Amino acid sequence: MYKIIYKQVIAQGIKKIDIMAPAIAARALPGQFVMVTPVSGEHNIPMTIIDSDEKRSVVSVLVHEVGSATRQLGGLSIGEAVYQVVGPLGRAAEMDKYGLVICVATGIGAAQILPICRGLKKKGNKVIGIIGAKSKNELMLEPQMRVVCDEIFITTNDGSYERKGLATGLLKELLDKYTVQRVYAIGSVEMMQAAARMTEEKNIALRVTLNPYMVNGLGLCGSCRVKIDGQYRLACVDGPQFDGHKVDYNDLSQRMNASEPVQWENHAPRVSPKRPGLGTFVKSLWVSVKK
Amino acid sequence: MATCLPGCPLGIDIPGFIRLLREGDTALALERIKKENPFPAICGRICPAPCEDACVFNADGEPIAIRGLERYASDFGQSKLEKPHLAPRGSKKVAIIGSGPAGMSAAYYLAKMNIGVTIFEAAHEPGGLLRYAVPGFRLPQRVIDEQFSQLRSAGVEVQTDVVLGRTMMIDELFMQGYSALLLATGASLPIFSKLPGSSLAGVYYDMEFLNRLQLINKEDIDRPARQQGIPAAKTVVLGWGNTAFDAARLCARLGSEVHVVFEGFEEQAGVDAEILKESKEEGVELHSMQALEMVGDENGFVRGVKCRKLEIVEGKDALKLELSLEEPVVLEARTVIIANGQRPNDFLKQYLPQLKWDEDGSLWADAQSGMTSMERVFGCGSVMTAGGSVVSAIAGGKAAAQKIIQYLNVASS
Repeated sequence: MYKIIYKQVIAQGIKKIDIMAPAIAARALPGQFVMVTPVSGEHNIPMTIIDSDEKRSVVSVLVHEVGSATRQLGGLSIGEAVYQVVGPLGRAAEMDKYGLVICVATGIGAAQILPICRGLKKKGNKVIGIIGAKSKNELMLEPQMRVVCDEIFITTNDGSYERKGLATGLLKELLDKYTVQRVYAIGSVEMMQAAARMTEEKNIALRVTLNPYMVNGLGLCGSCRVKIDGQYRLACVDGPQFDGHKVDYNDLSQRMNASEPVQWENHAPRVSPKRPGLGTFVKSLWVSVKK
Repeated sequence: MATCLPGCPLGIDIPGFIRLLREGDTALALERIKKENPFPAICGRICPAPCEDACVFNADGEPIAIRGLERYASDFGQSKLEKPHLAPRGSKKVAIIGSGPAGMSAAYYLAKMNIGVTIFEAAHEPGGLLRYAVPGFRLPQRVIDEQFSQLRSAGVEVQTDVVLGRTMMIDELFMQGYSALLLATGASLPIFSKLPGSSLAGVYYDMEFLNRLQLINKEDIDRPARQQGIPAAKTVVLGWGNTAFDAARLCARLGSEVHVVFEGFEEQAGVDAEILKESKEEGVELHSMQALEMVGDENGFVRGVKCRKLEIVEGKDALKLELSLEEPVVLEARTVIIANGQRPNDFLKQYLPQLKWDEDGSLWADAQSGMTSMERVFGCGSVMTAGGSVVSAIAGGKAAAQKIIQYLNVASS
């Protein structure tokens, strides 16, 4: 069950993993996520489904190796099985034919924007994509985004690739230049807040994807509560997409803060998978031949 | 007349099984309990024991420890040679959503009547809140596993990792030949508090906190606890009830200094006297105070709770608590746990908008047939009552099973 059938390094510390999960692949819609437990005894990680293929019964997720659980998942090799995958969870992203749509994402958010861009394109929209990254080697999913967007802009903070600057700066330019019907933004709280300010001025609809700390993803514990329009909502059941103009960003940054230093992952000891790879096997063969 | 009898929601023959225990026939006593309660091992540990409150000896002294006797019977009365009873599958199948106490009890009674039962559970291990919320020192994992192995040997099938409405749709279940669907999804979503500062880091709701620590393995919570910095720091629990004391005792056992704050007298803590006594022994301090707000630091982390003391005032016919005029005090804390009660999950409302809900947030069902506003869909447990004890969930499951059997018999004849 839940066998890994393909694995690929996308950027520094980021791997794309294809997991066999027929029931999930048959239903997954853009914007939904799965809860993945890499091995028994690890906690589960919410992961956006970046692609699903019903014919191959495969869902693809992107692993950003930052903590013990994600490192364990990244350490699994092709052919091994993941302990548990539950999904597809969350609501599908709201999409229709709007006209001109801008999708802006920074950092790991690119993984979450990709299925949304693909869905929007399928609906017949003209999609402009903006991806922001710290530097060139942290930029990811550029080729995939080029396929699904009509036009794509890339910004890097240090100017090592394409334009130097922030993604929001570029968004402002584009909003001034074109009449845009809708904006989708995924990234840091500051970035989404800036996007909300820009679109509110011009009265453009904005959808944001929020990533608060999630425990089980089933709407049981209330850990992923976010304040929307003055009321608490659960990102796992009502989200993860919300109306960007109704999100209480101050509350959100406090909630995001909540997961930072006390987050279990950051304090967990580094666990490296203790499995001899092919390299060590060949080396040991070589040693025995030399003897 | 034994006054404890009406106290038990399940209607266990309490004097009967105690008499059998006194005669030394533990196995027969267990059989007597099991007639009405399929899971004495669970109730013997975590039942709030309304029967003890109703006990005649309560008037002048301590009640009989009925829960303890039930636990004894369940632990020592199990015959080692007892053969698992494999129920032959009838032609009818019932799907149960959720494997908590209500779902378990309904499954037991349906399987007993030769009805095929499949329990669908969203998590990876069955047991619901028994597994993920009740701490290991009150209900060990082993006991839950035993109950499920007994259920499985009675012919109940358990499918985990299945979320109704996400992985599996309701129409598919009916297409697979299930004649009825029982929603036993429980009520575990915290009712959010309006206290200022409840978004600060380090503020958890009771279920969230218990879930965070025990999601992986409730017998081994050292690592998640260490990562949240519980042992070294002070903890304040706001609220009362079983989950509040579970969380408080869990922190106290991990080495934290724990204060439980609630508006009311000690007797109104919502837990039985035994738990109150034990938690005091474990170092939990109780305060009658009103929480005003959380105090945070510049980084958005909680540092304490501002509370106003309550004073005991003599009222007309009883003692009353009134707000003191003293300056509010700040109880220092790195972890604050809010216990504000629970309600059913929102997802069910989102997925099945045709279901009717009562004003108090519980699922509506016809009193006569037990059916919800959807044809062939029944409900039981906390989702119907918006919270409740283990024993009432088991009683609810039992009642729902009888309603379903009645419905299936009518439908087939």
